[in-house]
Amino acid sequence: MSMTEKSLKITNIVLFIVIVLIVSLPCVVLGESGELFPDKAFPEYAKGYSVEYYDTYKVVHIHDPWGRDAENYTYLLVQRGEEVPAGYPNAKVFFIPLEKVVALGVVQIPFISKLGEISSIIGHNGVNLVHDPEFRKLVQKGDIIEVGSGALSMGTMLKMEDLIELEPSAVFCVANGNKEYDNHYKLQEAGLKPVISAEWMEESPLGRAEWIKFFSLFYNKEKIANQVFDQVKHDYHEIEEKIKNITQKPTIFSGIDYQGSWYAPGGNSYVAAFFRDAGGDYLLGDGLDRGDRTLDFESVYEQAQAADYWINIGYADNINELLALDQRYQKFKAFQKNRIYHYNARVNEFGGNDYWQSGIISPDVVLADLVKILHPDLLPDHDLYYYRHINTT
Amino acid sequence: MSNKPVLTCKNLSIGYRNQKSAVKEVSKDLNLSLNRRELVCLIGPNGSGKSTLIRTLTGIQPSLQGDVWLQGKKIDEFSPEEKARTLSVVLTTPVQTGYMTAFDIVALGRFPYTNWAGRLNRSDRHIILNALTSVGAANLTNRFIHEMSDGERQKVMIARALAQEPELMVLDEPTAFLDLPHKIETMRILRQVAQKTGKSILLSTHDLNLAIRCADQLWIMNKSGMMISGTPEDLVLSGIFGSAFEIDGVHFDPHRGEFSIPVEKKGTFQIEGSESVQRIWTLYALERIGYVPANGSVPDIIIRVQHSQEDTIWQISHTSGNETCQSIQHLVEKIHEIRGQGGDPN
Amino acid sequence: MDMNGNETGDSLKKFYILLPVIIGTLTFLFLLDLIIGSVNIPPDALFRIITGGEVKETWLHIFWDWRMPKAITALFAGGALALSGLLMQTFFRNPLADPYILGISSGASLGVAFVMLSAGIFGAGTIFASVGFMGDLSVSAAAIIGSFLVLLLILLISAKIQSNITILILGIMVSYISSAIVTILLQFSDESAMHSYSFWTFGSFSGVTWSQLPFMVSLLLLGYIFSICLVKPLNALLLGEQYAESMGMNYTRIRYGIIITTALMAGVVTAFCGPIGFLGIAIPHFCRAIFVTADHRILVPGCILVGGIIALCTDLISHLPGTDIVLPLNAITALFGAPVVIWVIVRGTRFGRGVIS
Repeated sequence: MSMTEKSLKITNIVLFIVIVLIVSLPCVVLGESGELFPDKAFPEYAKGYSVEYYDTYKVVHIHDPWGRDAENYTYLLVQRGEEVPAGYPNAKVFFIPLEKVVALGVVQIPFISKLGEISSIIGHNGVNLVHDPEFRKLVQKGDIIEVGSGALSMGTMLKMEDLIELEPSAVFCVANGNKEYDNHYKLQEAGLKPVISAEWMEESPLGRAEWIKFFSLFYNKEKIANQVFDQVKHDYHEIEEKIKNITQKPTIFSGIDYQGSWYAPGGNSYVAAFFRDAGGDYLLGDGLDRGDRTLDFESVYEQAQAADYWINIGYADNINELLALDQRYQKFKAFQKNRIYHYNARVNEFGGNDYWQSGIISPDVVLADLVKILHPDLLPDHDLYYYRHINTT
Repeated sequence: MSNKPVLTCKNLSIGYRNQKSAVKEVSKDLNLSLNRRELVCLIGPNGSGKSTLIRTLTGIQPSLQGDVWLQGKKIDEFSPEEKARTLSVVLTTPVQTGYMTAFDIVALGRFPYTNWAGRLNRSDRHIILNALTSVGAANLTNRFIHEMSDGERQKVMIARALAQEPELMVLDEPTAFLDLPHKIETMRILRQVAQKTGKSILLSTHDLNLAIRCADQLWIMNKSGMMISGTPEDLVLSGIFGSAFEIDGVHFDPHRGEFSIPVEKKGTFQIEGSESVQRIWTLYALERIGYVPANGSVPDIIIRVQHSQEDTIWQISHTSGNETCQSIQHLVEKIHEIRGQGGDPN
Repeated sequence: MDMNGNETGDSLKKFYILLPVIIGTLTFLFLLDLIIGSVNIPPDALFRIITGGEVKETWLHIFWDWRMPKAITALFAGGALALSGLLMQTFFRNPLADPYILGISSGASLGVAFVMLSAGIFGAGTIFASVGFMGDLSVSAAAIIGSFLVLLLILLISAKIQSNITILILGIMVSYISSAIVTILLQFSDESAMHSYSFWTFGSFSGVTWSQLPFMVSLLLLGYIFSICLVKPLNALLLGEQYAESMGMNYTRIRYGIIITTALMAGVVTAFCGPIGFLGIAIPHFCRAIFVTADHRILVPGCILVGGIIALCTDLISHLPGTDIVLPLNAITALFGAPVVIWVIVRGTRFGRGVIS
């Protein structure tokens, strides 16, 4: 190669490098895509909230089905360092991503855990009840403070002073719309900032699980939320596919009696949805109740005596307790055929039940459990996780 | 029939012992006895300890010292049932239960004699009805006790005590809430019961006039707890009765057997006319308005009572003239007029 | 007949006349309670159930294992509560006294609360599981032990203290202390335990099974027998303690007898049915009004029968025939009992004065 040819090559290479640098510089400065919120998560199944994205902030609405308390259900999530936008007089403002939060309740924990933000929790009102291992480690280290009093019951009494001292940027809690019992009124009075979540009002299992997206809004972790939920959705539908070809739907009843009143999940409830999706025929599901219904023992017996399965036995934990409550439970065919199942396989020594914790974010596992119970041959490799067999012999 | 007394006590001392063993003695050295067919009235001013004595004699309250004998046996040796067959009471506590007929109430008196269920046999019924009749309450048999007047209720309670067929009946102020005719009737009934059935009766009362007339024995208890017993007449004649009860200005008149109401003296009189009821009541009226007999000195007024079959006329003679009156009211008015006109120094 | 030819013992006669009517009503309601329920069993099926013919198995079980024990329970519990109320009203000479005035049901509630709620303190499920071996008698046993302890306390105190007012106040204070302790236990319990305790306080005749029934019925029958033996002293007590003693009654012994009998009946009913209010206070007044007497020879059997009638009525109403819904029993008894008490007071002193006020 001649001297001229060599210098031309070098010039080309240098030029190429310079052009690449010039083109990529703004990208380095501005970030990957040039937006603050490149990943967005929108609810598909969850009906309880909605979100709008703007350049520097997000607006979240909780849909209160009873139409009360509208003021507490709009949140303005503003990226730290940005200005708070005008035009949302009733909204509560939070600067995201959140760094220090207090959680009141157990269901938020698995959501926050899957988002990898357990370390943001500095206080909780029932630390003994939580299963999440990372959470437990932080409790042991002393990084998560107990702010509940009243030992094991959730949400009854709070140690307000301890809570206030923690100075959390948000307090995740639930609400019933009842001024006397809801914590968020007290929290507001104390100058704290409650975030009310309404995942417990979702009837569909996927809808409830999808609230991971709601929590991700506060941490800018929508990407992870989407990944997690898509996987859950996929696994759930996969199992549902297996059900499509079944010929028989076993009959199920649920709940127990107390002193002549039987408390059973309503037809439109979260629990009943699982029964349906698992290919079962839930006998006590007449009516549109989303919560528990009370029935007369007589009529339950009439409807459910011949049912194949008894799933969920209320507050009895084992067969002795069940019989101690009433000898007449032996008359149910499900009892006689030893087909009683209860979701207390993962209950810790303080009474915390993981079904209501990680179970919420893993409806696919719950569904798999139920399918395993109702149609054992469809999932030969699955072992019961949240449910266990209550042996009557 | 033995003549032994039904109830006796010797050197009895009564009072209260409270929890700290402090003793309040109400009366001591009591030696009393009550015989069959006797009606004894226990009288004394308020606070003298009559109720305490009654409670001790009926065994409701323990004595401080000494014993009470009922039918010759110490009273605390009786079983409740035995005692009930010997002694029955009529108390001052008002009975307020409703929906019980007189028959039902009197039937309770048969408690010590009936079986566990309180079943009444023929003779029980007979006794109950007799008891009601003897107190004059036969017409109340089926009436509810809460619909009765005080007097009627009292009769029923006495009948109940009668039906219990005791040897001794003890009544605590049985005439307290009754009007005078009923008071008298009660005393009459009690006397009759004592005479006819041979029971002994002890009652406490404030009605002194009735007591001295009806009682076979009086037990007088004074404020310091001293007890004197005897027949009413002896106690009156000895002056004990009077001194036990006299207070300033109130005297017992042994002639009339009653407490006199003192009145300021206004004048003197002399009365003429034969012994008659009219004359007696004229004298009462004159006493009431403050006129006393002249007894030798010159009277302010002279009154002549002229009593015939059809009517009575009173004639007044005084310094200023004569008047004639048709009634005692008229007489009294005239006397006041005369006084007002002057002519007498008062 | 008395001297004037008037009929005496009228109230007893009237009672004998009313008796067949009352027994008839009782039988009718008992059968009605067996016939009516949330599940509609047609008459011909009922007939076959009783005669032992062929009938759907669930219906057979419903009739024998649910309705029959429930009706029997209501029958006896009603009588027992009415009797206890009568005893307390006469004993304390208070027309507003009820079976629980001695604190018996508070003691029972405390026992039950310990069994149900202390799981929270000692670790979830342990207490319940450990008493599970006693079978379905565990809650009832705890209730009976609780009432028994209160009874002991009352007896001890009444041995030292003559005044009935003192015992009354003691009973009320025991109630307050028990409530306070229960509240503390509730504070530390978990939701499901709180729920079960709460449902227990609603009261129900449905919770008694055939295995428990013999205990309950035999203890209550014992209470009935004691009450019948107390008829004569109760009548004497109408005049007051002093008169009663003067008539030969051994007051101390009778006092114990009344307290123990009441505690037995009220404690057993509370143990098996939960605390059921108002029947004890209202039914004795109701009986006094219909029999027009305060004579316990009539009122004791009267309360036993009428108590059963009223209890069966409240049970029928609480199971709202034709629907699935069950109303809390205590709500129904209050709706019946409160108007009766108001009526008693308003009708004035004369009619209302069944007992000394």
